[in-house]
Amino acid sequence: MSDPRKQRLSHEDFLRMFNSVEERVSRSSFEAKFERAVDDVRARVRELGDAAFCWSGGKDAQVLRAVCEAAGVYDCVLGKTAGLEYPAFLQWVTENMPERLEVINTPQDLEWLAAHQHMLFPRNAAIAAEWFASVQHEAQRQFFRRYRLRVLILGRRRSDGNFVGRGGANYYTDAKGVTRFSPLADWTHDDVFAAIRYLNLPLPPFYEWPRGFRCGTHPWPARQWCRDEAHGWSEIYDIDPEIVRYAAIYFPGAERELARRA
Amino acid sequence: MCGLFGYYGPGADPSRLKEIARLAARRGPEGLGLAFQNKSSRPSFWIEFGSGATARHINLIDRCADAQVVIGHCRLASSNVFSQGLLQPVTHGGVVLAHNGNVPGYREDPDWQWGDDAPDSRLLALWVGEQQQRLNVSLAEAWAAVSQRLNGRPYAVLIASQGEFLAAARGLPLWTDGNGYYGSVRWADDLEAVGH
Repeated sequence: MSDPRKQRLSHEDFLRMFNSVEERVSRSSFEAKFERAVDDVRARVRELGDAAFCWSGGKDAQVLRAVCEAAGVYDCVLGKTAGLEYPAFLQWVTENMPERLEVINTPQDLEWLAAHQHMLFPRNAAIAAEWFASVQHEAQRQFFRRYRLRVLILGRRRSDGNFVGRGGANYYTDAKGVTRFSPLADWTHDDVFAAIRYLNLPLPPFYEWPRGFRCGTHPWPARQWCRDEAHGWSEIYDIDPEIVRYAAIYFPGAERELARRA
Repeated sequence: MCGLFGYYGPGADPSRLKEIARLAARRGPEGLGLAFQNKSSRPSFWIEFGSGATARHINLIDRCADAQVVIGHCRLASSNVFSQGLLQPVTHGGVVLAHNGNVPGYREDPDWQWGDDAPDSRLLALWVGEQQQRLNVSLAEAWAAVSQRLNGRPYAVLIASQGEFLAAARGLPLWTDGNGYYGSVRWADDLEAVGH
């Protein structure tokens, strides 16, 4: 049976899957899957050369980290905005970042957001893709070039609707010459949850927040699938009211949310 | 947060320290801070801060030539705020401290007195100084008591106080080469992990 796409599942669906994964995936079958991914990374690194992995702190990235470290790949990169991250996430990063992580800032901050208001709470795939391109992909490109890498290892999965390569391949080289390899490409949501359970991997606070498993890791203005702007500010307030107070300097919607909560 | 580097010994080699700091700066790209003590400053410390992209400030380390104590810090801004007041090392009384980690609930702590423009790590420097003064204990003993207040959270710290130096870590990386150099990221193969 094929895995349902992330976009068709609710946070509650994911939570149910996560909490009951040991009933569906045995430790031995998880370990076999994990070993195959480790072998795949080792083989690809032998074939292509210098490699590093991309780490967002999210659930797939934590599993990817475990796979890569088991395969002897320790260098990694986190792309983040200069001023639009959830403080609670950054505090979690401080305590959980891989030793050899390089943090690369992209220039988006509150002033930038005020000048690009169409980027706030994306309600279509094109805007969401613009966030990924201007933060994660930009940082990945800088890192790839700075260290003259041959391959970047990603936690992308087909079940998440991610592109991993053409014709069944799990790697590709983009038009800018960056080769991306996705050893978890065929992992299901259950496989990822099993890895988190059996390896006891810590997860960032996103997954305890509203719609956490659907939204995953993201800078706060890139929060997806909000009904409208007011819904976005309301969820952000529930997560961290300080962000709304800070944003109210530029955004009347944030100011309205503060007035509503007063 | 989040990259540390340092030295404690007869005289620091800035080129070695820069090599260690460049690796630490990968973890903390948003500002560099440096406290160092040499013959002309003793018993005080020279303090230097460079806010903004950490890599641009690495050459501040040239000033540490022959320093006997160096405590360096590369910041990851967990608050989205970039004022110089949030850079480390922090000082309180005679305590100089750089910290990778979080102090849980610091804003609600009755000892917190600095508003928004100070890192949570200032509390650690305050508590270390208080422990040393009240109980007249070594820096290691003072830190052992203070680290209890982190409620099991991971940390890495470099601390200098009253002529003593301490490197300690629990759950976060901190390495030493046995020749007085310390760093968050391994810069050679034959290093030892610092424990608590």
